[in-house]
Amino acid sequence: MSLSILGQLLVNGLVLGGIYAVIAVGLSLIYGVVGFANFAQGSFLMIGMYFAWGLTKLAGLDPFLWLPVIAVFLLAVGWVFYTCLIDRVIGKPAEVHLFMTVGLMLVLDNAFLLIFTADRKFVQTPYDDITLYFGDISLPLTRLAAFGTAILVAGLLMAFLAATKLGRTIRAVAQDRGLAENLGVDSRRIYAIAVAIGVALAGVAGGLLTSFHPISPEVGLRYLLIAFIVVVVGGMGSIKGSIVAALIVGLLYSFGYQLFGGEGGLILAYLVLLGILNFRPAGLFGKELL
Amino acid sequence: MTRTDVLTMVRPRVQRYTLVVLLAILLVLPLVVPRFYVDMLFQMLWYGALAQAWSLIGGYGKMLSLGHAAFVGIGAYTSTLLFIHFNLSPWLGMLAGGVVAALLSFIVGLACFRLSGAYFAIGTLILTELLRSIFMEFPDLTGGATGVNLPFVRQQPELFMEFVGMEPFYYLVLALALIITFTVDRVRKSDLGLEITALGENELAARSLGVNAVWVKQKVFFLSAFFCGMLGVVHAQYLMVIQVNTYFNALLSVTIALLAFIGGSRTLAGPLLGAIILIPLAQQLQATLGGTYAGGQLIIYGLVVVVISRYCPQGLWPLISETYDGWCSQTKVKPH
Repeated sequence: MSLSILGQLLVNGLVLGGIYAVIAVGLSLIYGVVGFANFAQGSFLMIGMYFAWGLTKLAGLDPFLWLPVIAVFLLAVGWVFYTCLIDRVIGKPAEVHLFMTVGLMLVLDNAFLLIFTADRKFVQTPYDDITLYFGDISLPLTRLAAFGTAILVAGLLMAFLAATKLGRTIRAVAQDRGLAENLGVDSRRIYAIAVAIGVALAGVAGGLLTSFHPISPEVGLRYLLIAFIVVVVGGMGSIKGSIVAALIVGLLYSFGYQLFGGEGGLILAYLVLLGILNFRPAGLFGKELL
Repeated sequence: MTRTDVLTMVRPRVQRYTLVVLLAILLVLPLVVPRFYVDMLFQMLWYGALAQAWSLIGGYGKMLSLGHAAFVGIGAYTSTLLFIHFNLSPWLGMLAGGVVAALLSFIVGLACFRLSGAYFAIGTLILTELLRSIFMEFPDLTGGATGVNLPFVRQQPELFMEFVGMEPFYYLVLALALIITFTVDRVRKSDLGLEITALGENELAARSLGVNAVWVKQKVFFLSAFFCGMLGVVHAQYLMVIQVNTYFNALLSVTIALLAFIGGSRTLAGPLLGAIILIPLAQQLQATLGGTYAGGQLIIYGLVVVVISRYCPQGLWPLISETYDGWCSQTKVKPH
């Protein structure tokens, strides 16, 4: 393998990983704070993609400029999701959360399939076919923009959790709910906020993907699996872990695809995941909460 | 005599009569309904039997496997490939499929038994996807997305599980459903059943009392996977074609699990009840919406499972039997 191909694979993998990071941190945030694995997370990403597609089609404008609108919309969706469903089963066994979110996934994915059919939709941007070259390494502008925005979003989230009062309260609830409640924190409200932010992140990830990824109802399940791989490798509930793991999985995918083709990238990622689960069941950064 | 005494006398008899009547209906039904409904009944019992097998590990053991489709698939492929390449009858293939599925459960166990709750679900889900990807990588053997057609046998097709009409398949799957239900009943009343239930309730406590967690889980998983493998073989013979995506399919795994959950995964009747309610509903809906569209039934499953998990997370059967008990204890029994 020549050096330029190696560099190209490295760049592809990192760019992919940056986007996986946004998908995964939302899932990780919800697990870390509220303590359940949200199987509907991929469906929220899909909603974000269709929302971006609809906005671009109806009102023109650039999909990247719509991101704040998508974020606000999915913040609301997440809030409703928490208040109507999750809030009612807090404290119930894990299987209840699992089946509730799996059920929601089935409803959302297939409702979109019913409305929009399985046809792939595309969002066009004026800079679609602009590709940057760094020596032999090529990088489409849309991907670079998506990567840059992804890094920005992940950075904003970490800054929010580290530096604002609300962010610190969220972390406090994640670390010790009982203690936080004794100090006067309304943990149910924090749960709602965390779920809303987590869902909004999925929507934003969907918006980022639309610039270079075809839109169809099946993306939900596909990215749900990828998000799970990333989050489990990084350690559920650890934001830093998710970001590092996302880059690792992105690289694995890019190299696996080059070496084994087709399904090879996925097979490699799955195998690494199962290996890590066995030797470090809590993930690379397990135990460390948010 | 107290009221409870009367109840304990009457209830088993009522239950026995109900069972006999139900069985009689199931035996006669395919002979009197139109063809379309025979297929529906077959699907209903097939899913019911799978959900029943799932409940062993997912209900009593509370290990929420989202990978049972892999056992169905590996069973179907084992028997079909043996049939095509070595002319082995699928009747024996059913055994072979079950055994290979049980062996696969050993690998799943190695990879996932240290996980619990959502992690176990994700681990098994990913493992199925891994198998799907691997099977897609060898289209010469597995037929990939187009699939493999099963050969037609001209002489004595019954010896190769090829029947005219759907009724024989219906009775075959009915027999399997009964065998599985009977086995699950025996297991849950045995030491093994107590041990797996204890592990589901509190693994640490059970282990400190001397339960060999890994071995108990593995034994139950063997049984569950063995049955799923056998059911996979029957399904392959029924359809006469197997495709990687039909069996190694996350949605099949999810359907199996949620049927058991909806009916009540820690009861004997629950998993069957889930299938009896949902499969006909889904099939009818699909027939109404048109054959090509597969999503309608999944919306129904999804809605039902969201409502059930929100309002009665125990499942439907416990709800029904509690209502029945309440209704019984309200009937006046004259004290003497």
